[in-house]
Amino acid sequence: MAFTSRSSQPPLHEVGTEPDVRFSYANERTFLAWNRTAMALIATGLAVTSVLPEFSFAGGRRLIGVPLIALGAVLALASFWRWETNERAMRLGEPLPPSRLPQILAIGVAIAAVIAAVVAAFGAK
Amino acid sequence: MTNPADDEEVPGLAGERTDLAWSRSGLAVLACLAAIARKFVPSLNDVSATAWVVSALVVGTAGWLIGLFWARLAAATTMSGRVVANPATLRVVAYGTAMLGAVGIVVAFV
Repeated sequence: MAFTSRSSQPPLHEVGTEPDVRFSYANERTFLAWNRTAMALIATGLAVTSVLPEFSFAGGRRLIGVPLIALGAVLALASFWRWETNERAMRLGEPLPPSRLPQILAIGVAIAAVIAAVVAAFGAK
Repeated sequence: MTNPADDEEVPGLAGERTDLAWSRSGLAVLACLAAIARKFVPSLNDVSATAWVVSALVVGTAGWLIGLFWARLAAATTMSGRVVANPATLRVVAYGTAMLGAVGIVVAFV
């Protein structure tokens, strides 16, 4: 996926032709689903910092929770970029470019799980 | 001619599914706001029952109204005949979610 500045691209409604409304709705629902995933990560990260008991070293819960919250924020911003990229491709009749979002989510959650396992294994009181 | 998925044969239902997706997203906002609010009511023992109930009602109502406004705003965009959602609306959604994340990170250090 090449990144081009939005200011160098024509506005969305001036590009190509209107796609089938069902495809646009599907794109919109996908964007909303990514935002709900982001909010679930944010809520989970916050819960980790407040609900978990303290670990034997300071900052253990934040070490687990803050990356989860940051991952949520990143996914929220990236999901809008994906929505616009997909909408542009559909309007031009081009195939949808591959999305990196599932990869980012999988790697981010795996890293958070590794951090949590290490902190739980060595930081239990 | 491209064929949409078999479960999307009736175009009106796709719009309804999209509006429901907006409502679900509004509920997710509520859950996120509750998680943030929980950081400010750390221990049930320290807060009187009345204050707890009032706080929960205020936060819950505010969150529900935000989610409802969010869903209705989007429904007006998708049901008024516009084929494509307004990119400006979706940009606000994305930035709003990211801002919840920023608030969350700040609150995590409180």
